[in-house]
Amino acid sequence: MIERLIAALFLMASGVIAYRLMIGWQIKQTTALAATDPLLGGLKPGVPTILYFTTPTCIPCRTQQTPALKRLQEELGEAVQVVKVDATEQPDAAQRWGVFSAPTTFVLDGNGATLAVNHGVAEADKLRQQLGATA
Amino acid sequence: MAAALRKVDHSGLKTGQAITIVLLLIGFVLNSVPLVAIVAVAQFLAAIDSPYAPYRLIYQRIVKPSGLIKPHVINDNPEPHRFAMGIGAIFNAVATVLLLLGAATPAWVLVWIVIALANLNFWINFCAGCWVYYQLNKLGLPGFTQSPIPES
Repeated sequence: MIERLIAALFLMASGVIAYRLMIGWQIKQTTALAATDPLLGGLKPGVPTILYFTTPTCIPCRTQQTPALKRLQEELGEAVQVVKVDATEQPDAAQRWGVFSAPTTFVLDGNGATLAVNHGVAEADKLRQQLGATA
Repeated sequence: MAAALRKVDHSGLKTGQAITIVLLLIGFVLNSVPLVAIVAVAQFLAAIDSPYAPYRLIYQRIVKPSGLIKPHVINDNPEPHRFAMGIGAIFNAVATVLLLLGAATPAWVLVWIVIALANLNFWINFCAGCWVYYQLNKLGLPGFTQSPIPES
């Protein structure tokens, strides 16, 4: 039984470590990408950005993520800009940014450096906190 | 044609996912075939929307009244979630049969796939079964009648 417990802990820990490594790698990759990516071309420089990937079949996007982003934009006004991308319409963009599920949000500082990546719904409080790192 | 918008309590779904993860982990550690079978039955009853589905009863009679978890009711289609439960039930049922036949390795691989997918759903809200359901709906397969809900 001890062996199986260790195996279970090992598998669970491997999953968590792999996920954290993937997030770290994604932050590094997307920071390098942000300076030249066409998705961010028309944005105001110096203003933090949330890049939001969604799909038409993503229920949490419609019911949770989009309202959370609307609320955040109402609160912060021009202090944040949100770019919404339909991953099914722009599969190349989703591939470039390493998006494999929706919603996925990238929180970028005013210089385009990725501060955080959220796979799954990120509530307004969490996004505000992640943006707060730029202040 | 899609039915009118309905509400789904996602806290109830999360409760089911959490119980699935915990029971299957305990089942693996104890090498317990009955536990895997119990999860398969519980998922099957949830998939057919039975009023006696254990996950539903645990959420409605214990978790919700305790106030530990607030209900999170949103516009959603219940069918894709039930389909996902059904897929989990099939995986666990096959795993149970394989365990009874002595084929432990493939059985536990199936169980770990369910654990991994339940974790994805629990932690990052990615419901793989729902995704498959909507893909089948897009292909026009009979029975997969619910389209994604409109933007609110």
